[in-house]
Amino acid sequence: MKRETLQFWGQIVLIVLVLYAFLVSIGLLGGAFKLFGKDLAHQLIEMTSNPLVGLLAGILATTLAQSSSTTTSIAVGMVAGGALTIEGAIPVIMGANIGTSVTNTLVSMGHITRKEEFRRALAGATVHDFFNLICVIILLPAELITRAWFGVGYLQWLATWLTGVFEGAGGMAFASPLKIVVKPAVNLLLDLLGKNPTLSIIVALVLMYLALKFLVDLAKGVVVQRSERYLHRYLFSTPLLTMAFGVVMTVLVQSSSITTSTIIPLIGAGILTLEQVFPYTLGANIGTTVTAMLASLATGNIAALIVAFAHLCFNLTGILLVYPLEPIRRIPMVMARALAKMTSRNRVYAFVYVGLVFYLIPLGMIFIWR
Amino acid sequence: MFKDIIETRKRTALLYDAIEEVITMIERAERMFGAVGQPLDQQELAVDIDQEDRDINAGEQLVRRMVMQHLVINPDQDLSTSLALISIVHDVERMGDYAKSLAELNQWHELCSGEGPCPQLYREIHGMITPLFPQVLEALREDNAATGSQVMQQHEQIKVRTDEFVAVVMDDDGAQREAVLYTLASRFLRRTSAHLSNVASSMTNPLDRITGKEA
Repeated sequence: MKRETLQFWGQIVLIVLVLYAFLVSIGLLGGAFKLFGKDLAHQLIEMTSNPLVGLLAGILATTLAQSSSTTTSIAVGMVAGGALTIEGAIPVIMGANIGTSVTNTLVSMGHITRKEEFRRALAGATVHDFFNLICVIILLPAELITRAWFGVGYLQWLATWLTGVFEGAGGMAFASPLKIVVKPAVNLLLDLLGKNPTLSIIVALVLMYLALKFLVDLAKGVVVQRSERYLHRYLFSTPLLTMAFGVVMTVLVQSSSITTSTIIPLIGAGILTLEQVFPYTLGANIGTTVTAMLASLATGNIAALIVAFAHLCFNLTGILLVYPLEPIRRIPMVMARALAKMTSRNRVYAFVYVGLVFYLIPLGMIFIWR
Repeated sequence: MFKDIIETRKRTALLYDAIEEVITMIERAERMFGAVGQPLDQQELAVDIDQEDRDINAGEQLVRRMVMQHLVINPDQDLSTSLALISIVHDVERMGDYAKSLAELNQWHELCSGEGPCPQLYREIHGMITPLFPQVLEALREDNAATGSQVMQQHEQIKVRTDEFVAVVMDDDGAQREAVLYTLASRFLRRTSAHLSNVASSMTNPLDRITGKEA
């Protein structure tokens, strides 16, 4: 067997092992929250009962971890452990969507010394930010209003319905072997940690962070490096194919930050236009929901699965709302171009924008509401 | 430099597609150059010079885009090949331009027709350059430094002949109008040969000395 083939299969085996470690970390997180008992759960649920706090916590956690998968997986694990309600988790997941777009904005800063290149790169990066911000500005109130009127938010209702369909189609039965495989390792770890809830949470979070980091690095090596021809073929294709390519790439790499950051130098160089890139970033938004889906299947918990489906539904409804009509579709692009134009005149604005939107406003608001 | 990529036909490697595009571009330039060595009536039937030139220009952009995409995704793979391709496509694009310019001169005066010293020299130098195209293609496909080296040596001979061509034109006191056309033709032939030599040098020379003398 060729060395390259051996190396490829070695990487695949490693990916499976790291994926297993990630699923174990989710199970451990859920188990750890259960060990804490109802007092902490009540406190946490109380804390996240304000949807804006949940949203800002989601933004902050994702920008700090530089990974929306980490935030959404923690949310799923907490829901499975009873430390977070579905209602409380939905704004956190929306926040994770906003927070994840900071990575490609930071990557675009790499072009800061070349004015025109930076203008294009920043516009390409922030179109993702603005799309996610617009979705949250519209869909979070929509969720809250429908919850107030009908007792259940539209996302929660849609996600619950999808979970029912998934369950009815034997999805949970399919998922149960996953739980069976993960459970012994979770129980073993809990025993090894003396069933100490604090220690278990710390180990679960560290394990999850490391597993996701390795998983993304490994998948990047296997997928992204082999994707150049497909990237060339589909990024210059029809918007629907470009979007589908964004979904597939992100599902395989398990990180929308990687898939969207990869193309920033091409936008900076002027090879890709904002119009070509936009559907790709939307596809990345859909693809990234798979991580939470996997995490929820490992817990075998219906509420956790609803949260994962809510993440998917949020992104799908966002796309349906913004993308089909040209005047609405242009809004995030116009905003991204305006910001890029402003920052190309004075590049300090770029740092002010990142600092305010992703760090200072969420931190300040959480501090004030607390 | 190119043979590994061509032979392994890396399924996912964009550079393979870029090399294939460069080969297609050289084949186009060869067709265009072949046409300007023929009498005008046959030339128009054989090749659409303007269209071929436009396709070569589009190919240059495509190769640059492919190389850029490759370097963004795999910056540590085939770096020197990528940079060499950027240099080569520029040379091929120039070949297309010179063939087009020769075709334009042919509109004024049929360069290859007639029995005087100038048409004869034109036909002779054109005939010396024509086999360089398949040689360059072979050198590219086979990564054959020896063939590349041959092309570069033949270019040195062509340079001498084009200088002689200009000297012959200058000695001819007769037709001033034709003298201008043949002087230009001599330069265009020489530049075409030079760009072929440049492409061949990518097989023989280190990256920094591509387009230079044989290393």
